[in-house]
Amino acid sequence: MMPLLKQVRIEVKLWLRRREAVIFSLLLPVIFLAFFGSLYGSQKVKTTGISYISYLVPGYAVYAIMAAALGTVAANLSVEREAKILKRLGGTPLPRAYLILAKVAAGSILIASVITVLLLVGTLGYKAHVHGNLAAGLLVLAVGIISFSAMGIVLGGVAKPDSAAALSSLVYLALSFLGGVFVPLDQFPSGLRTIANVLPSERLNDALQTIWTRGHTLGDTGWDLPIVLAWAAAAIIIASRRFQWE
Amino acid sequence: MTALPAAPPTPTPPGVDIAISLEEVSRSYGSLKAVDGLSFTVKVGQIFALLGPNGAGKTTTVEMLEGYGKPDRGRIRVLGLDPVRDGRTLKQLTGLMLQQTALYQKIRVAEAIDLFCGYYTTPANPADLLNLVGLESHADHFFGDLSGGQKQRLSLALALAGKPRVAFLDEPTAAMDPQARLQTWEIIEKLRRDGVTILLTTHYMEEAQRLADHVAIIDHGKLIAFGTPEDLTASLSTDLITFTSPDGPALDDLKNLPHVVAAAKPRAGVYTLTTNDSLETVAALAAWRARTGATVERLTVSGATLEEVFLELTGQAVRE
Repeated sequence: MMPLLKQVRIEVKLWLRRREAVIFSLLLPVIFLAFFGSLYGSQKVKTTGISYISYLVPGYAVYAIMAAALGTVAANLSVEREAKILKRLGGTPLPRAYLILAKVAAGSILIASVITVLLLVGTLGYKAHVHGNLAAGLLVLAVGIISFSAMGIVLGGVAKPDSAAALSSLVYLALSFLGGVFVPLDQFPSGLRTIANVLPSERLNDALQTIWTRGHTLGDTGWDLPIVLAWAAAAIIIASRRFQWE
Repeated sequence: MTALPAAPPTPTPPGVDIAISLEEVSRSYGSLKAVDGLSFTVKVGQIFALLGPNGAGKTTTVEMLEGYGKPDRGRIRVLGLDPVRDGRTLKQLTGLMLQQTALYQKIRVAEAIDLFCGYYTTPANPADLLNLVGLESHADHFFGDLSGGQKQRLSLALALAGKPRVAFLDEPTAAMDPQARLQTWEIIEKLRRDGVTILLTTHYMEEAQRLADHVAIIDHGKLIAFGTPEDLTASLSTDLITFTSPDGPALDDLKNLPHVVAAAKPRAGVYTLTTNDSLETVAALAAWRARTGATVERLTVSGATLEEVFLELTGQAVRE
């Protein structure tokens, strides 16, 4: 257990020492929330009467999960493979599974910190209403973090290092836009809405909105979590076949 | 995750003093036979040098010993264990330096040593390792900010983090200046005194000649010579003539002198002739000088070194 904890600690440190990782996965979600919060924060969505900021908090939480778990994890893994760091660590007694687990755990710790800040900024700064059962919210977040980490590991395990950062950014930005994370889905044309309905970003966003924004229960999230988990399962299957250590 | 082996791996039986053995080991990449029927053994406590031209199969061999790849055929044992099947056990007992130093750019020297020591059940003392490789004053530096030689010294420290019984060092001094190389040789000699078995590959013949108890020269994946450095150099009947000449005579002229096997210019103005009759060649060289008026100074004749053995056996210089 100790080697795993030490590995998590060093992964967190290394993450915080990489400028791009700090900017894109830790600062940007908070800056976006503060920026759009101050622009539209007090406006209410006509159909629901709920303030716009209350939709933004879960949206940027989903964005933060994707930027860190998918974006940074993929970019780091790819670089570490190419620089033969994964190979070197494979020559020590540290089990390879621990290497991956430590990355996911370090990402989870940082994502949890960002989401805490998002919640504080949203509720204290812009009077967002965050409802719902704490355990249900945490469960949805955990499913999201683990699932997007699995997708990040696949991307990092197969992408070339010179394109991994750009590719993973493209993927999570596309998932953010198409999944209605930045712009509510009801403003989408119906064709795009159909696509959005099968994307893990939209489903995670919807689950979090259901609990935090609308104050409903886990049961009301319906197919959201199973669909997110299906993406994770597909990612794990691909990773187990295609992941390259060297 | 690999399943646990059905039976506990057998430790080296007492009295058996073989640390590493290869029996008829072959490994191909596509149609390329990287290692072709290679067999040799390394005794406990020895420094063993693997020499060969680029692409001879040195790194493929070392990486199979480290458990990175299985041989297509043949049997490998390190401390009586199979490097792939018994990898979990063996990795606690071995340490390694890859040919390319590889570490996180933004990890500090002291953090890296701590991290690696944490991987082993009986680790070395991190402060001792830092002192051993002379990086105390760089403990807070990032790996990415170190010079090539410093990176290699850190890499050597990391190879020793688990107090290994066997260390695999793939070109341990490749990027080092002469002073750092000398320090590293002293560290490796200290390891031998502590009873560590060391298998190293190198491009530097003086390194093999100074450190190695045994040398294997491989080419095209096959063993072409095996023995102590003294055995190998004694087997060669050639001598080496070294002289300086500021006029820059053509190597072809020198090559055509009687009994000269090879002529080389290791540095500007310095010439070496490999000859199988040094007296005849020196006489011819004197006649050639008288005829052409060329300058020949500081002439010495010495017995063969591993460099000449290597040249004769592989037909090429070690570094090209």
